[in-house]
Amino acid sequence: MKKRARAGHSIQTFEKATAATAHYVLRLYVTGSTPNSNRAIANVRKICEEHLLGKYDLEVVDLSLHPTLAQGEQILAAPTLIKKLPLPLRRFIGDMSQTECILLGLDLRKVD
Amino acid sequence: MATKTTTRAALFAEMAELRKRLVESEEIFRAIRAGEVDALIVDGAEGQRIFTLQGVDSESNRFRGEILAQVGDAVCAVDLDHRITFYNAAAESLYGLNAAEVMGRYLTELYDCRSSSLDHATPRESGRSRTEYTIRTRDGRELQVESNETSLRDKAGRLIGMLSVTRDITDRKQAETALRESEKQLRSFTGQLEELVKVRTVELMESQARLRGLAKELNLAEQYERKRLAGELHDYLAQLLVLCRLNLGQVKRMGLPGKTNEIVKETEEVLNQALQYSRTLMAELSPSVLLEHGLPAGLTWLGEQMQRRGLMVTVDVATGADWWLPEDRAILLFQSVRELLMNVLKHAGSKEATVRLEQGGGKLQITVRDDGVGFHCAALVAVSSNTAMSSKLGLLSIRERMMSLGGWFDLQSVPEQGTMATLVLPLANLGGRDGQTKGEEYEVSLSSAVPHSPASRVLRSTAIRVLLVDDHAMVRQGLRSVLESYPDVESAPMPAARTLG
Repeated sequence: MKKRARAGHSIQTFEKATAATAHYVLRLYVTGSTPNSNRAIANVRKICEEHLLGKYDLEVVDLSLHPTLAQGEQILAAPTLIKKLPLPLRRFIGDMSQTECILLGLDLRKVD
Repeated sequence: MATKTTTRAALFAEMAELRKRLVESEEIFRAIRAGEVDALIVDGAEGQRIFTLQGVDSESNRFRGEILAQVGDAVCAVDLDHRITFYNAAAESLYGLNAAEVMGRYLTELYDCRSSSLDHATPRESGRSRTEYTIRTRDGRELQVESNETSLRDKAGRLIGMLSVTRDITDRKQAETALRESEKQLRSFTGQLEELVKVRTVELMESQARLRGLAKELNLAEQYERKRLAGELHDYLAQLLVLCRLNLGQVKRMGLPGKTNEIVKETEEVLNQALQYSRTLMAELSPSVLLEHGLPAGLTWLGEQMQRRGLMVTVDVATGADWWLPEDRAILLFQSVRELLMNVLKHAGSKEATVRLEQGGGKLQITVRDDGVGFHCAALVAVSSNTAMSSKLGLLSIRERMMSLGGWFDLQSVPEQGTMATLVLPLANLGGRDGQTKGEEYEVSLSSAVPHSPASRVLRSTAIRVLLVDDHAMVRQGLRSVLESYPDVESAPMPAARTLG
């Protein structure tokens, strides 16, 4: 059990260690040009440029135009931001205005 | 054991997955409660379905968003960091970038601002502003735009960004520039044209002055020629005819045989006709009645002359006016009226005409009116037949002559309603009666004393001394030869005829 815990800890350490240099692949699902969608796009773009400048790809997917693109992604709500890479895959819901939570989820902030 | 371990591992994994889903579910509920979620995506038998979440606020927001999305001007909202938070379809067209590309990016990434700083795009406390500036879009287009900026505030009234509504005014500016350039050219052309018009007007006025001078000269020359011809007729042809008739009278008194006497009588009749014709010709060339008795009498005589040609002319002279005029003006008016009456005779198809002579307001006015076929005044310009051209030149001549004397000539006509011609001559500066040139006077008196006159019959019983008075030596000689056949008559010449008064 201790070994397993240590193993799990080591994976997290590895992921955190690679986060600093990893290339981020993000996909933001929105539904049309709603205020929440617009805010979400703006907030994600702002976070990326401030913390991931030069090492991210952000794809914005409008589900109102391409509803089939949500299949297989387990999208339950929009706007949703998916961190596809680096692993682990993470999902964020809302207009992405909770910057600190998102930075934590993207492993760009240490937990206090 | 392995199966048991696998089961435990699977349970841990499942538990982790469930925890993760729980976290995500809590996150979804939080986001829904916070109003950050627009739609829920649910897997069903018919595949994925999207359910939008629209409350009252979100409906109004959607409505407002829809309006902003549909307006024809580029609408763009930025936050306090100049990051784009709203961007409509018109903005996509204007800047050449779609919303997905620019949302969250800095406004400066949309374009380069050529003619001003980005101060216009800075959110400010003061409410609204309007600016015009030039931008260069990322696809290389240079545009002039007009932007109205409005500050955006949250519910608490805190400044949170700025909304700009931008319109492409490139075409309008180019049109304005073209218009200004066009107006400048037009002003230049107008100036040149005005200058040209001034020059041409001066030339035209000089030309008109020369024309009027020529018309005056022509009028004087015509008057001179008419007088000269009348004088020639009077001084020579008429005298010769009179002399012939006197001689024939002498021949008749000699007692000729029947046939010869008859031929002499016929010859005398022809001579009378020739003499009458020469007198008429003299009168027409230079009407003595006009020169001796003035314009009203001249026009009355003219009316009588026209009546012989088949035109009944009524001459109406206003009473109580002094009709004295310098001879040149009287002759000009007389000739003009004669020209107008000849036109009536030739073109109007009317047998009647009226001539009205009146004064008023320091002007003399003569109106010649007929009730003939009339014509379109505009058509007069385009006449081509010789007769009509002659009449047109005659009217032009009248106009120029009248204008050369400071007066004017007006012609009004309506088809089938007759024609009215008006001659107006100012009476000021005519000069006095004494100012008239005596040199222009001449006499058309012709005293043809014959033995059969009543006066001579009364005087036959006593010795008679006859003083021959005539300004023509030929006539005096003829008379003397006639008188010499009477023993009781003594004739004596008197060259200075005018001394008799």
